Amino acid sequence: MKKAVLLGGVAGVAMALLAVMGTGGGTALADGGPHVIESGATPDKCAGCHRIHTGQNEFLLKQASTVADFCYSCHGTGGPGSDLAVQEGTFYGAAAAGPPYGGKTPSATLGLRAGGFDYARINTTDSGFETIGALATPQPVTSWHTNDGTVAGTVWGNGALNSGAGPIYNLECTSCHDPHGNGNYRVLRSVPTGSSGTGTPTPAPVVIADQANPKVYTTSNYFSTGPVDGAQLSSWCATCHTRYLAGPIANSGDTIFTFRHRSNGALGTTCIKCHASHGSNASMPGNPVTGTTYSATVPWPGGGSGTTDTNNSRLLKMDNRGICIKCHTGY
Amino acid sequence: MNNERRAGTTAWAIAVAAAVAVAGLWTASALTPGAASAAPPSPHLSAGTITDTCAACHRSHTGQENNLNKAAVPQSTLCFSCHDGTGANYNVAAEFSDATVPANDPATSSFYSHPATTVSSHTSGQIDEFAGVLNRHSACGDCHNPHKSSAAAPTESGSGWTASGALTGASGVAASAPLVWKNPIGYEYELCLKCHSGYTRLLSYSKESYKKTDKAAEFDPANASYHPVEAPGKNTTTEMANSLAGGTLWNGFTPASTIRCLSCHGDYRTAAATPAADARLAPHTSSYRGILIANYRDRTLKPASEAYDSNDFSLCFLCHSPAPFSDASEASRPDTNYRFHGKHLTNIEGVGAGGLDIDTAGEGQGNAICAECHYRLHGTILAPWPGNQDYSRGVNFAPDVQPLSGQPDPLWSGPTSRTCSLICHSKNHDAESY
Repeated sequence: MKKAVLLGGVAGVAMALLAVMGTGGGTALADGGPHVIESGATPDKCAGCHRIHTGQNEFLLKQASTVADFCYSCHGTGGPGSDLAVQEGTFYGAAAAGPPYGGKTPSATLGLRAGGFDYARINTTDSGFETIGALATPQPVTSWHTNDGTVAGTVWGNGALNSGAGPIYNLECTSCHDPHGNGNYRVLRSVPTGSSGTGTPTPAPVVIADQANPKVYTTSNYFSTGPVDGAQLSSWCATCHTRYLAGPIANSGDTIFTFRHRSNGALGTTCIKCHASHGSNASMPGNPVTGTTYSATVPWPGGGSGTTDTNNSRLLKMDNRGICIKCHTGY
Repeated sequence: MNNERRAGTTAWAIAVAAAVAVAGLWTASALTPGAASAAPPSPHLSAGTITDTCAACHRSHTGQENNLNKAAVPQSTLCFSCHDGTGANYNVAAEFSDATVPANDPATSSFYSHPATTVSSHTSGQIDEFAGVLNRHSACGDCHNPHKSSAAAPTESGSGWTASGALTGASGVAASAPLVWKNPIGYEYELCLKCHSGYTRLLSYSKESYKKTDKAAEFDPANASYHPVEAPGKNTTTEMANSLAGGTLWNGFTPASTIRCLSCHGDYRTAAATPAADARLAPHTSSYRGILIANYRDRTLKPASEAYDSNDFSLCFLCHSPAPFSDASEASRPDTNYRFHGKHLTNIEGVGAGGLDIDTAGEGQGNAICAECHYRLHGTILAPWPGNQDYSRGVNFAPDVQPLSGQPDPLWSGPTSRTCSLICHSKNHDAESY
């Protein structure tokens, strides 16, 4: 029932990579394993995903499904074809990373950095100083980048100043990740598809150099941004979320995204410091003691009604606004 | 499952978050003193690891002012979204919309409200925006730190009253030499000194009664005379004690007490309810000039035909017994050191033929007003007559009072020898004793 949908992404972390189907061949590594264009005259990996004459969709993929579903055939729950089960934010390679896949015991201490699309393992109530640990058991996500290619979502902040809240786009895994490999960190596209929106300029490409081997896709502390240059990754996020990228607080001139928290990496403030790019299991219960529901009733950018939804975390890594006081400890 | 997660399906982005508690500040008055256990949910304070409160006021990516507040400047817009009678105990918005509060008139140095509802140059209450510059403004965050505020009442000490919970975490100026920025303040008056002392640049006026004086200089306990804001006063006589015991509102003070700036500059509405000395007395607005908590006539002299009216000096009588001032008997009293107080205030109608401006030499034609002999009320050190600047007992003469011929200043010989040598309302006092 639970259709494998989600992926997408801003800070693409670890996963969403199309993997070999039933071949058992190759390690599932971003810009490695099956996700490379093989050199030489006799490549073998194309057949992991594609069928030239019997393709089941416009991408000649061998399965008739959404791109996300196809991705989940390896990166889905249980990690059938990869240790990186992005669908449930779980890492299955704790004891022995790499093939054979499926049937492994999930790590109880490590989660996938970007969270997950159906489940995630972020300890969203972690009271530790500068730590947001990983949960032993995945929890349903409360917000995620839609990734099945069929659900229209708002590309918040995309486009030039005063161009509205953002255009609509149907995001899918391959909007952000290049399944054929491109040498970039997490095979992120330098220019995500749809990032130009409607009537908005094409963003400048952002190339993030890939992580050296051995690549690490997991974390036990979600407050850490990991191996990537956070500032660079923020720039990449801003290829879609144009007007979220900000330095010192100043009036941007935009009527919606007017004053913005610093996100450009200076002082350690980056998009992925606060947000889990695939999905988060944080909740917005408010304060049951005092009865406040401030966090659950924050309107979407540009106005409209409040979410009035305690199950919309907006990809934040902590419940309510716990993420704020991870840095602003004086409050 | 996807249906259950509908919210997320609408957002494919790092959508906003609301929150990040940045420095900015705001808020208006504090919480109910002494009512902490019954206090409603306060958005001002963090509530632990997964606090909900940041989102009450802040928007991380869609802030409308430089503290990432969700409302545009002035800060009062945000503060009044709760402090308007709907979401907080104190309806501060009503104080600023009070129809009996006149508009400020800088031309005549007449101020009735702290200008919290106008857009200003304010950036953050945690930043020193005042040192040595003319930057007059008072956004809510200049006086209140919303992230630190509490319901705590101020307490009296020999060094002044401590800052109340409403002012906790606010910045100010320490009354040291030289004056220095202090963040956070410890004493309530330190907040006031931020804007009302020589630490900053004060508004400039040539007319004496319009002048904005350096309150740090005036309250300096090293002076000969001052109202006891930073330290108890120097008049420790029994008569002073009796006078203070007879105050109409603040009758708990003694010569050993210190007082609050808010004892005089506060919410006149609150005063009507006979508050305790440590009550919330926020000096946001007042129908009385100087944001006084009660009426005080200090600029316009009395016409010849105008009888004494205690309401003219209600401010004084909050602490000081009014009885001596309506007693024209000239007899000694246990509640004043000057037996002619009553005579001067009630029984000199028609004396003199001058005008009614206290700042003009030789004026005066009727009953006296307090300010003619107690001109600079905060302290005597900045008295307009240099010869009065070391006087005790708050004595310093107004510009309408003139020196005798050959004297540089109108003179008072002090509380022991008790003579005055001056010309007042055209009447010569040539070493007149009392």
